[in-house]
Amino acid sequence: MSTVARPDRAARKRLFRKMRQYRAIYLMIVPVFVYFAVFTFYPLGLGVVQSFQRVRLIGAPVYIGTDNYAFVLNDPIFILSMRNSIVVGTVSLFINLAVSLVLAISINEIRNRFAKSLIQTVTFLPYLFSWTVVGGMWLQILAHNGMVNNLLAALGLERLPFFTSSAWGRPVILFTNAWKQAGYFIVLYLASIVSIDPTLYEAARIDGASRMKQIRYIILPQAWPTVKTLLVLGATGVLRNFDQVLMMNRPATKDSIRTLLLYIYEEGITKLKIGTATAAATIVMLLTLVITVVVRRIARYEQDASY
Amino acid sequence: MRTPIFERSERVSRPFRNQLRPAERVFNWVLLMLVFLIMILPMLNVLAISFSSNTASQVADVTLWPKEFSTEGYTFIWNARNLGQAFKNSSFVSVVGTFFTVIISAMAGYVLIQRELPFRKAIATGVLITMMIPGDLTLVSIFSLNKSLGLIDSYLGLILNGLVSAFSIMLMRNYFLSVPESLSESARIDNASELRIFFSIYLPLSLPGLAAITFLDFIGKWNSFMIPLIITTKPELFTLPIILRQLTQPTDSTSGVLQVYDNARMAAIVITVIPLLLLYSLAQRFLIGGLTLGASKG
Amino acid sequence: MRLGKRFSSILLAFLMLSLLALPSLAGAEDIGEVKILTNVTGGKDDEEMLLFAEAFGKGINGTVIMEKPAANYGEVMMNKLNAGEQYDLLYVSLQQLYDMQVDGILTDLTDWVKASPILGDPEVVPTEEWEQLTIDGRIWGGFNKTEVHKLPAVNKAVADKADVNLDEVEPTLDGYYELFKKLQAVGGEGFYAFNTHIPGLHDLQPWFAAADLKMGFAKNEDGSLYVPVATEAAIPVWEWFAKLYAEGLMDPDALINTTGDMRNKMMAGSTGLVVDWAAWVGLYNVRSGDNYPEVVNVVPLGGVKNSKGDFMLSRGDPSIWVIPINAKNPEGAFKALEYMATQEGGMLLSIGIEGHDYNMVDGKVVMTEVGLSHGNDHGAPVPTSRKFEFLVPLNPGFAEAMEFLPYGSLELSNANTATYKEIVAKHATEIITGAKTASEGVAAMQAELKDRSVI
Repeated sequence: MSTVARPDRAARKRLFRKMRQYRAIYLMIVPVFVYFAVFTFYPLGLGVVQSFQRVRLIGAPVYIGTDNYAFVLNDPIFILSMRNSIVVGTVSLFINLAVSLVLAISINEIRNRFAKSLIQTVTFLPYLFSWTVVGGMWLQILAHNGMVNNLLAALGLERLPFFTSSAWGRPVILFTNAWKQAGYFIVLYLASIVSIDPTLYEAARIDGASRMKQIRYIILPQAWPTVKTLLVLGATGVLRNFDQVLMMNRPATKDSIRTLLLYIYEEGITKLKIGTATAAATIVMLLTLVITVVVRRIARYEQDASY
Repeated sequence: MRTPIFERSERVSRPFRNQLRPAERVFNWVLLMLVFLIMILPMLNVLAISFSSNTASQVADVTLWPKEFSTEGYTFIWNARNLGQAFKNSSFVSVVGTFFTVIISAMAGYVLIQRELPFRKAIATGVLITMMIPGDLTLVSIFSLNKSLGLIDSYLGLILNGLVSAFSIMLMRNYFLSVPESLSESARIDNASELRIFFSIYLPLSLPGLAAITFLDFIGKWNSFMIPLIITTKPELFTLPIILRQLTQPTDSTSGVLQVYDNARMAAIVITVIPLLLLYSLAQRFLIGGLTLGASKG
Repeated sequence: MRLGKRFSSILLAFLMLSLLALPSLAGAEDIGEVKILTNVTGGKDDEEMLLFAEAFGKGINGTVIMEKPAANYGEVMMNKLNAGEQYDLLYVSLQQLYDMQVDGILTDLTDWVKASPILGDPEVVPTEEWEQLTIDGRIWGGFNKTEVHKLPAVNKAVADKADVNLDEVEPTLDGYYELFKKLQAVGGEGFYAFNTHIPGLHDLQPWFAAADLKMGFAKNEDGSLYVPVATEAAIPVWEWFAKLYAEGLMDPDALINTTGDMRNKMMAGSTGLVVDWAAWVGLYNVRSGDNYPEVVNVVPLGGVKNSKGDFMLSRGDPSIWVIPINAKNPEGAFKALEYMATQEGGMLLSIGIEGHDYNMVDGKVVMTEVGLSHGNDHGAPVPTSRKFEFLVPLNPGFAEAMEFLPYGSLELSNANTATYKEIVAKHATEIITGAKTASEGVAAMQAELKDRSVI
């Protein structure tokens, strides 16, 4: 028996013993395994298999290798959608995180409890509505004769072509996205801000620091880990914009905002082309993986987390 | 006596309470007022339209106040067949589902903080990957899968689909990370079982986190539409989003003549959101505390 | 014990089988069970759906089971078929027909149609109509109803205020331009003489008549396709639209309106003229409540005449029933198709169920309150059969609008229709707002249509 084999076997023995030691723990996560196996990974496998097929709604599918992928990757609309998704998704994430942070700090400075609670509730509300509602709302408000333009006209300013000019396509999407999502992030930030050790403020005050300086040197650093976490979790959703652009796209602005999921819907689902849809979706999943890994590295997430 | 680091003038003008200077405070208030208006005006619009009469609600210029006040929109929705049943279905499925989701997620989160657990990293990665799967990959097989499991047209089906949420698991894991390990260590020395440690140490110390997960998960389940739509065919099992969608977006053929007035559409929206709002005001207290620990330790 | 159990289950099975056999022993030609997945046709709620299915079944001498997804028909249909569910009849749109036929999952109905005394009769369904459902020379589906046309609908109340006699409107682009100017003058705040739904190009056909152009696709001599409204001949019409916009006669929000928005504005009296389905001419009046007839009184017009002196109007895409190849009862399904093209079937699909939506009193149809609220539409407000006799008066305005039907013709559609509309609408927006001139815009349309292999 060589010396190489013995450490291997010994290592494996230790592993198994450890696993037995943790068997109660493993038991606790069994439901999760079962669920993901049945409801997530199995359908995922099916979907990926379908991406290599020409799937007919009835009858046996035909294997066509990577034809679906070739079709999708050669489609200029797919490439356009990919560019839009990445750009709009990432910028949106950054804007949402930044704006919400500013607002959270702002809200935190309100002393009146009633006002504080009210504005918190009001900023959280939009999150509860679906994009069908929010999209429709903003289409009306930003219409040529909608609230905003009427206000501009009353002030003697020019009416703005929010939906009829491609230049406004992305800004409108970014703004309405922030509008809808802000409250959710604000709550998350407020949570960490509120739990800051009060003695830190005391010490700073004694040193004569103004509140503004306290915000800069105490609150911001303490909230930073939250920012990083949300950045990483948000990365998994960067390519997921669908309901918003489905609801809010219009002929003039569509090209600058159409996303990958919209492409899958229009090219795959509505045309009953399941093979195309699953191939494009698999590409989206792989892209998401890459983005998440990159973001995690940039945020140096691993430093804080223990895995 | 400590030497002040900052200017004497700053100290003199320092307010009694630890607050921003008056100018800054005014700016703060103005900013928030602006935000408040931007947030609330569109929603007042929804409310106003919902309380307008049928024909008046169609007019584009109902802004902040109802035109021809009426509850016709709400009556229309109220008279819908199966609305009450849908409400009950949604409530039952969401409550039961959330209950189990939270327990399962908490347990899984607990598992993921066991430092020496073999394959822990792999498991965590697996969980994270489930968050990256676009729905379109699995869309077409939903009915087929549930049919083979016998879950079509059943409450069990509505509850089981979506029962485990990776997001909740990751959040619970973070809350548990802030519980001092010394507690569990000493408990283990005293021969306590893992389950015991979980239930009597970790859970109580993460109550705020649990509340947060519960609330967010409930919202998700309450609003869930696509999967319940596909796996139920019997109207008495429809959930609230399905009934409301059916009511307010009638499919009609190319030259069809069906139409739903806007006040009914808005009323449907208000009806869906009110329960969530009530829950939010309840949970607000916990929320602040709960989501804290999760995020900052992340 | 076990033996006894087995025996009783065999007995039970035998009894059940014989029970199943009974109906076929009783009725002469019971065609069995027909399972239908429907999107539109049928009862307005699940209770009525059961009554509908019962009446339908009686009509074809069989049993009809109707299933209707609560929403998102396409996705639900895909799920069901993918899981192996078998339907005898499926409701589909023209786009879905193309996609399904390409996959070879539809039943070829050509021979049955030709041999059918109902569907093969040109007086019931004109032979040219079947062209819409013909691909590669074979017929792949049946009609749900007769598609009607879209035509200009103008608010007479406003015209009266402007002292305009609608019969004297010149059927040219200039004539309508003058009309709009007069309407705009009296319309008041927030009023726009002309409104439409540009994103869906709904519907610009009456105006393109001025250049003899049909919307949709057209064939060149060599058989290749082109898009008439994206050719140079279309430039004058596009310039006309831009003019209307520039002079404040067209609602700027027409560029982003949904059809629902457009209709709302009409019913509120803030629009003078829209182009919409014939049935809507009547519905605008019925649905505007107290506004009728002082504020809103909608009557049809023909639009612009082409060089031959005819109006040019579009008919809608057909709504279609197909028989999938895995249907258990294709003969029964075909019987159902035939039934829908009869007088009785037409009544079921329009005014509804006897005893529920209406009652026969002394040989005349008397609508119940429930029936009235359903607007005479259970899937086919104008049923398939050309010989159908309307036993209930049509809504005011609808009857007059129907007189224009002969001017309606179909657009040539194919799988790329959605893409062509998207491209044209995009450049149309730029032309109309003045960002591009009409000739630049049309050139851009041509370029992009070619680029994306639409033509």
